[in-house]
Amino acid sequence: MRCAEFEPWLLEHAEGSLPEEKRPLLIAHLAECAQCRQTLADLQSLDHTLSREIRKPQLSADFNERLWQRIRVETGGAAPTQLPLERVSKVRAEYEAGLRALRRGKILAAGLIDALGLGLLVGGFAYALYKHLPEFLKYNLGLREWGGLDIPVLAAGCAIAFAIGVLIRDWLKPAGQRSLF
Amino acid sequence: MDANDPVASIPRDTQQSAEDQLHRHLAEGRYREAFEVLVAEYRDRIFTLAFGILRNEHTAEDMTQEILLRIWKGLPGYRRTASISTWVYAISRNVCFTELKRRAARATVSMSDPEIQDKVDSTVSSQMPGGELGHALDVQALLGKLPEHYRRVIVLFYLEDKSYNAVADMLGIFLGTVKTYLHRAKLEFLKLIRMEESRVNW
Repeated sequence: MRCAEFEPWLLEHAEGSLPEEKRPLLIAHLAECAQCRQTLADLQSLDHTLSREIRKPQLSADFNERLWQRIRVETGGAAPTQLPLERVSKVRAEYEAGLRALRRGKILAAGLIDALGLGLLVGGFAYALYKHLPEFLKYNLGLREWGGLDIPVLAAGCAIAFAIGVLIRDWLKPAGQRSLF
Repeated sequence: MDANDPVASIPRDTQQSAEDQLHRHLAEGRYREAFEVLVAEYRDRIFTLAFGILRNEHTAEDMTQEILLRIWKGLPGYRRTASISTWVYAISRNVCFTELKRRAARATVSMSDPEIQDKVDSTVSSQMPGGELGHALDVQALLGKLPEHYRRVIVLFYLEDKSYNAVADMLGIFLGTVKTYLHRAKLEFLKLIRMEESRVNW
């Protein structure tokens, strides 16, 4: 090992933190290397110097008194408030209000689609009935005469369209509130 | 924790119980009691950290007041996601570094500045007696020549009774980093002393 490789060991040795198993090797090296002996001596001396020169500063005797006084002045002596908790509940309230608005919007959209779908379906069905049912019935079912629109058939068509509307509406609701899907 | 770490190993039980006490008080919303435990436990360590960063006793004391005031205000917001010491030291570093920046931003510094005067005073008082390495050299001035992150680590290391763990906790850096900085700082310091001595001897 070269001197440079012993440098970290010298530092640890000077601090008294060199692992026991490394010690014999270092001591053997020190026995034959004057330069490393000098570095170690310098480091140990430096350690003493720094231990002595870097002194703990002292707080003033009235530190705590002044601290409490400052707390009284700045906070009016009141205990600290639950500010972060308040903030949390505020954010939560905002979030929930937003979610409710979103749901309302979704329900409104569902309602519009309901109405549109229902209108189209009913209209289409009625138009088909009006236009083609007489011929359809006449030619396919062998009925000779068609006196006009059949109320029960029209009612069945409306019921089917309404059911489809209800299904769409249910599908558009938030996951937890669906009753059919 | 390190077995040969004098600071970390001795007051461990007291540390534990103080921390428990603190958490109990906090859980029950007794902030004043919690704060009293915290002040007793951390006041001096916060002061040491502030001194290590700001290099001036008066400023460090002012900042310790500022830090504790912030801790008092923030106490209800403390959650157990971080240990209390991590939380306290993070606030402390934050306040101190903000203060450093604020000071650096002030362009003009006059010699009548109390900080400068303190420096001059401490320089006079810390002249080393002869007969030792770097005798008659001013240790504080030489420390000031080290890169700031080395100086901070070396100062805190000796202020915290040579505990790597304490320095790592305070500065929020890894133990390995503390060791590396400390060793480089010492070698650098030796170099500075030798340079200074050869300059004096000329």
